[in-house]
Amino acid sequence: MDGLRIEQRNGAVIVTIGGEITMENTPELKQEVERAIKGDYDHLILELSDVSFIDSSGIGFLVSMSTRVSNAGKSFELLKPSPQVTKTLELVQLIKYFRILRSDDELALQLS
Amino acid sequence: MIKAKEPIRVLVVDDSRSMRVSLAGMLEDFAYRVELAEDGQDGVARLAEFAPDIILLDMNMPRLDGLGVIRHVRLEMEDQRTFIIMVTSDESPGLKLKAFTAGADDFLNKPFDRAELLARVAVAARQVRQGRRLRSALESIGSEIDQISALQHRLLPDEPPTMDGVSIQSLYNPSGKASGDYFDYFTIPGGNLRAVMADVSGHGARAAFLMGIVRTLVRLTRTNYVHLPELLRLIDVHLRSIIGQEPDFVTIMAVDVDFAARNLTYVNAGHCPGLLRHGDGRIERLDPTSTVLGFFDLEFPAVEVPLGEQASLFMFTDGFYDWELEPGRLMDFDAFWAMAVDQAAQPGDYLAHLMDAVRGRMGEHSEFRDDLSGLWVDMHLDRAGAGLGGPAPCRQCDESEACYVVSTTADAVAVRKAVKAAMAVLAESITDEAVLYDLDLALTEACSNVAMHAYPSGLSGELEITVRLEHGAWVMLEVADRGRGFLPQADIMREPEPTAESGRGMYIISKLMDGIDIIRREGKNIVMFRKNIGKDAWTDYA
Repeated sequence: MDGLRIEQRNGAVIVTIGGEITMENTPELKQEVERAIKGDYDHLILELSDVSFIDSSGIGFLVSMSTRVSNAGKSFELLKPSPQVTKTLELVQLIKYFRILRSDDELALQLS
Repeated sequence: MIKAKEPIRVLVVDDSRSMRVSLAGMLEDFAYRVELAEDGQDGVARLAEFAPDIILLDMNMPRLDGLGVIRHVRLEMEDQRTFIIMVTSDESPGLKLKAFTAGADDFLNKPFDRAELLARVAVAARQVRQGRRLRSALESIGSEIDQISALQHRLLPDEPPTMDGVSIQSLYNPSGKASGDYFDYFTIPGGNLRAVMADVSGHGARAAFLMGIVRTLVRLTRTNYVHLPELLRLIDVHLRSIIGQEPDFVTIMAVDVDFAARNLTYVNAGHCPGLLRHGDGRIERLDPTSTVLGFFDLEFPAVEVPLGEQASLFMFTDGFYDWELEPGRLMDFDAFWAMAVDQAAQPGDYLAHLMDAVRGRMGEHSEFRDDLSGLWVDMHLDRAGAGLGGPAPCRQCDESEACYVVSTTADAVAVRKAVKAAMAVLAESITDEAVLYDLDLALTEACSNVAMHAYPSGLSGELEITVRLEHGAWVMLEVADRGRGFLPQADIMREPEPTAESGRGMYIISKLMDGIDIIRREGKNIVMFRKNIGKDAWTDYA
């Protein structure tokens, strides 16, 4: 799908999402990400630096992925969330709920 | 506090030393606390400090005899509680009769049998313990009612709302300690005034409990605004789920005063009519618009009344006229209404004058039988701060037309497109990116709600976005659908659990906007919300 890139590195599945995360595309996003973590992995990392808009459906998508990955005993991280994502997460008081990697250096450290 | 387990105290009053000692010996074997007095006067002197539960009283004594002691206890001390057993060898029927008349409880002939003495004292002790238990229960009920009463007083507003051009007087006169009356007033989003007067059937703790529930639901609308008909529906649904088959009900009158639009909207569910006095002296009676709450699944239509520059409103409970002029003849509503109308024309403290007038009509034996509350709201609409509540006309375009209306089908893809179109219109007037983001997010949430919940799954109905604004001041957005509608739940604006995957929409809107209203109008369900926006955020604002 548009605005979606998936790569595997050091046991991590890194999904880069661009554009908007709303009710319009969350069902499809969920399907794609679930397909990407069918195999073996230690981390699911969502890269969100290019997300221009996220609403409560998008937040619901993040929460649902986080719950799923945690229940499987794996780690879930958000990588470089855009100011828009940070703002919405702060608004719904979930910013502390997610583990957030602010830079590629933090990502490298996490995967080393 | 009375302790039911304390030992029973027995005062033996007898001028014969051998008798005193013998009685004391018998009683102390049975764990009574015994004190001895050598004659009536000595006995009376010991009453206050020893506080006996039972007095074993010889009748023939020097200084003060038994009859004198009984009279002292019953008449002077006004003590009907202490159990008095006469102990006498005097067989004359006249003496016993006199003693019983004076307040003795039992008698024992001298010489007496030990077993009979103990049996009679045991009967007295049983009665004393029973009395203690009753008093202790009454004390604890009394203290609970006191606590309810104190709490209830705190539920009533204690200061007038800080609004220019509005002054409020209130009167609260519960018939007992706890009451079913409730009134309230506060400012609602948009700076307008909401005032409420309610009466729960009956009085006492039960009425106070239901009143607390009504108050909570009303107060909720201070922060989470709902239209008056929705408020009454909310209260009605809650009451019906609590009251069930019980006969309790609630009457309520509630008004919203819109200072900008200069009108008053009211609902009246079986409550006493409100008295509205217009600036020109015209009196309008705001009669019930529906029946009482707590019985039926009802609609509660609101009525709108235009106001001039000045108006006064009196709301009250039926305690004002539910009392007897004379035994068997009630003060009637019409007579009270005439007094209330009459007083409304007089200057000064309305409620005080009205109470004086009412008391003036009361006879010697009249007394208020029910809880009595009154609220007098004096409004100078010309002086009041302009509110923004309700569907304000768009100041950008025509006075009555909206800037922009877009209709679409309520599905995920279409609604996002419609939101973007509305945002493009707003972006022509607003330059601040952060403000635009907030409006975009709130509008998206409102539209997503419609797309997900308004129509039965599989069917996509219509959705309409309306944009209104006043350049340099505010934006008002409306999202309307023609679906089944929903009753706003008390907690829809609450922050959801972190692990919840949905249910954050209304919470987000309430956090981002300065006021939300959920109404049903002309077959449409409308979520409307407003954001006040500082001048710097607008294009070319001079």
